[in-house]
Amino acid sequence: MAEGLYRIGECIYMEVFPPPMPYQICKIEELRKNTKGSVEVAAKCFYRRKDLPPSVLSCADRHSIVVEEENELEGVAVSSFSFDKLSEQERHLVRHRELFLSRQIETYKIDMVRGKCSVTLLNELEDIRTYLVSEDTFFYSMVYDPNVKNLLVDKGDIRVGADFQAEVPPYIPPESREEPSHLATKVWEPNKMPDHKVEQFLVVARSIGTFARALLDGAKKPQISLRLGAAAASRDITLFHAMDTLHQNDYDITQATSYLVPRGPVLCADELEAWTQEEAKRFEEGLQEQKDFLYIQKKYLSWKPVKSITAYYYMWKTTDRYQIQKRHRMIEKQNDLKEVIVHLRTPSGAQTGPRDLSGKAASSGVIPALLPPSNDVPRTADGERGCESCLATTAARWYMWGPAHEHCRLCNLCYTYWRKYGGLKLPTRWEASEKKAGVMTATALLQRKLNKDRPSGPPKSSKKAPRHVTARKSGDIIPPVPFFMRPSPHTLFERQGMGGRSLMRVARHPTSTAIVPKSSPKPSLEALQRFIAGRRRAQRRPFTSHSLASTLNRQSVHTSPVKQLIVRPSPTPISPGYKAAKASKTKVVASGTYVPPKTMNRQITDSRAAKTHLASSSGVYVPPSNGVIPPPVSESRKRKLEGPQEPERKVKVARPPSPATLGPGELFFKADKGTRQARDQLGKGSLVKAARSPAKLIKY
Amino acid sequence: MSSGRRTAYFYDPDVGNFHYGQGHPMKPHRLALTHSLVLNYGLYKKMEVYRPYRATSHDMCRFHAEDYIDFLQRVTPQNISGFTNCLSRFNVGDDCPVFPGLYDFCSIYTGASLEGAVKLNSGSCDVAINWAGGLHHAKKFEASGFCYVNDIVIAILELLKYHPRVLYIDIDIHHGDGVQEAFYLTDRVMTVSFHKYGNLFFPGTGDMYEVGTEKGKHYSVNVPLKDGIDDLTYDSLFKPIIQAVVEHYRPTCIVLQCGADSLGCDRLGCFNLSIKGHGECVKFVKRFNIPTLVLGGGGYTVRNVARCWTYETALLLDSDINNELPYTEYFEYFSPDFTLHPDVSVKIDNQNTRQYIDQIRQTVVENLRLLPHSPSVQMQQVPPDMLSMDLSMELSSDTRIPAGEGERDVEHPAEFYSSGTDHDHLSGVET
Repeated sequence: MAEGLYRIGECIYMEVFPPPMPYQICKIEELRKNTKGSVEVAAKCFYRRKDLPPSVLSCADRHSIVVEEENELEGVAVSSFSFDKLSEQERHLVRHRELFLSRQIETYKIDMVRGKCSVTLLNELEDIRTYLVSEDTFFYSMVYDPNVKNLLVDKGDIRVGADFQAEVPPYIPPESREEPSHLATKVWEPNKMPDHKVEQFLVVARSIGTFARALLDGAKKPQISLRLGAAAASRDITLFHAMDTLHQNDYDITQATSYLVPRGPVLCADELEAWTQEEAKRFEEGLQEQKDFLYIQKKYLSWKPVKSITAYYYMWKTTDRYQIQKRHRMIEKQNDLKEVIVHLRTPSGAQTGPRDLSGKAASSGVIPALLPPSNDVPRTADGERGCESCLATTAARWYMWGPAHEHCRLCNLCYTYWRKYGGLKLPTRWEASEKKAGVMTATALLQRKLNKDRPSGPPKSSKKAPRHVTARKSGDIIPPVPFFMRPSPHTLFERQGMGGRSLMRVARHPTSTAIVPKSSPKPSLEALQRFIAGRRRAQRRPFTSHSLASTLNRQSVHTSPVKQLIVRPSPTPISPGYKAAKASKTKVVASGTYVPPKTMNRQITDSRAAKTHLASSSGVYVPPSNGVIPPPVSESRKRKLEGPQEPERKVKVARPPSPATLGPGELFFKADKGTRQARDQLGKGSLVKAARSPAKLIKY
Repeated sequence: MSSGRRTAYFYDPDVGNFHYGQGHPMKPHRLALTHSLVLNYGLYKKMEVYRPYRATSHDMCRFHAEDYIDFLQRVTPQNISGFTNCLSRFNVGDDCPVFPGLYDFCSIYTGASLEGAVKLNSGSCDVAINWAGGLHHAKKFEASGFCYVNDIVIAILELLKYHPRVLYIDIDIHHGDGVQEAFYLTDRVMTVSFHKYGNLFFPGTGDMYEVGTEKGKHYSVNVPLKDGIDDLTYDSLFKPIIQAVVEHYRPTCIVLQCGADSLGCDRLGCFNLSIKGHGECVKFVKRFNIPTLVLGGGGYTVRNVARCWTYETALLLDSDINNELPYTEYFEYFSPDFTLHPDVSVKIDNQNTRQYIDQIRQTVVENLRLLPHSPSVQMQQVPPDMLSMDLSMELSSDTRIPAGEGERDVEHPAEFYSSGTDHDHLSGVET
């Protein structure tokens, strides 16, 4: 296949603004030249898994279970793959390959194309791993409707009932059968006559036809040449008539010939021949106006039946006059393209520019040196962080990735992977936090765009795909994503250096003032490292991406939902060393019991479940150096982890709500004995105080 | 004829002169084009040719609801505004427009299929061809996907009078949902459909797990396929599956729907079959020597539809025809190559992986094993006729490899591409 050749119907990667973001995957529906001469692509969009609202996702997962069970019930042989058989790592990667078809059609400029891919409907029989080994392949099994935010199965129904099935007649045994009545007219019987005899007779018939044309009244068909007459006499209608005649005369050539010349030669003329020039002209006029034979008949040729006009049209298409018309039409149609060749300057889709960190500019400088080393990402030889995705420390090229202040990088391979599949190779915490941290994904943008364009309605669906799209009239409001600040060691250190007052000032005028630390502008590196070392000791189980992978066991999420939480006192603003020492001696002050909402499906396999589980299993999960951890899902949870000063804040639900009343992503806090004890100890007054100013330390 | 097989061919000279409307891909004119090729290739004189009778509303109501047929009979483009209720109720509109002569068109193609069934029943022919038929989407109560009256169901209902088990094979790119739905609960008709499935492809049904229910459970076989399937891949599915189906089900009659939209370059399709690859299916089914009703169906690149069906007519007649097209009055339609087998392949990837195909085949064959061997009708035994006895002997061996004469043909890969060598014995008769 030619490189860079794109055809209608192919799936492509599309760049979306602002780059770099994971590509938008879509299918080319139309290619056309616009008035300025540049080519535009109208493409049907696919949604990535992480672009779907969690409620919709859980619906998708539930569906797949139902289907599986149905098939088992039906007793159909299911040889098949199941998601369960995959390892965690594979599951993680497979999720990057799952897409959701939509009917949403967007128009892009052709130079936004970044390569081809393939998206196919997943068959239950397929081993899903085949998608992992081949590049640029995706699968989908459901159709997402962004207007009403629901999923449909790409599958029709066979209906059962008296209104649908035929009534099967009983079998009639041979002895009671009646003589069948044949109603068709036989017009030809084979093997009655040798082939060459038939051919001879056809020549005779044609000669008679030519002679008949020569005898024609000159006024009716002026200037008909002998040659044209012969051609006209050779058309199918003469041949069919000859064969009919032969059959009617029981394959007797003599009798049939005399039948062809009853009192003179018989002339068989089809529509093309029978029409006068005037009629032909009127037909062409009508056709130019509208290709509707009923209309042409009414307006131009009222004496001809529509059938004749249709027949004439198809014969007329073989004439030169049609060829001329066709050429005109071709010129008009030129703007509708069938394929287009795009030369990609950077085939990998890599964008050069400010985000490209290769070169000196990035490797030198003060800021990277100040970066706190995180727990899991190995460092490169020159002291920089390795790849966030594959943990490699060497790469041909590095790319900035994630929120700017995080200074995370991806190697060139993982960068391409992320752009194509919208995730990282290893399930890291970044993946979880990424979309909430403000990195808006391509399809989220799409959704927004859709909301904006709402009045124009959903794309018109063809009848050939009989599923309904219902448009909602009011625009959807995207709820603001709640987030809170989780201080990283670095931030904590900075805060200490700044002092309370200047911190307050910054908080009040976040944009106006430059932060001038009270202490020396360059805090001593040694102090920082000591500070961090202290904090690290405080964390009992340093988080690594490897251990995450092993904890990503969804079974345990559901079978043992009750987890003890370890609640530590919040760091006190004393000296770092002291704080760290204190933290390491922390005892369990109070314990809360976490009951995850009973999700109806057992196959919560999305990253959300992974996150929830992670939070519930390791009380000391502290995302290193990440200032902003905004997941709405685990917000309350994180706060609980922070310290005992505010567990009550979230205690609003006395009884666990039924799964139905709970939103799919919501958590609630169930107080147990320990919490109640702690509450009692605190007393009402300090509880209220704590609730009002959750950031302050509770004094006993 | 030396083969002893009698072929009946149905054609009404009017059938090509209908027009669905501007921009509509379904063009009845393809039938006129096919017929012209059949005549000028000299195939016409080798078979019994019939001008079919036109089906009455009574015939149509054997399957369809009376008010639906009544509506079809009365509605015209002129009085359409008086039927607004019915239009949506019977799904008549965009895909299935009301065009001049709509009822006549239905009546012609349905009459031909029905007549074909009658001829097969009476034993006056062994193969009946009606390229105008095969409109497999039409439902009992509604039109669907360019189909108004389901001539296939009506023909099968006629066949069921004399045949205990009828096998329906559908190689249209679209799922044969209308026929499957009509016989979803019965074991007297087995429907097998090979079709594109997914990406909201019409009609959306045809998943592998649609196997039928109640008495009809496991009597609906669906082979869902992905884009770009080529000859070899299709062949590697079609032959073993049909072989297994025939072996397990022992049909006494076959209805073959030859929708030509599974060819490469089709206006609506996305498969990559060549005309020879498509014809190979017809050839394979013919070899079972079971009475067969051969019908048309979809097919929206008109010139290739005409080529395909002409080639298949020749195959059914065991007659070799030249790759160079004879001169016909529609000769210009076949430019620029003017051949019977132009390259219709499209340069798209075959998305059906080896593994996918293997798994589909395995599952379908496994499901067939769940069938009780050749289910009996409530009546007595199957009428002892020579054909079915031959068949049982022929098919006693392994599933994949057909025995006897068939074996040579199937196993020899070169045969697939050259003109058949086992047909010569025919040519001596006439000349």
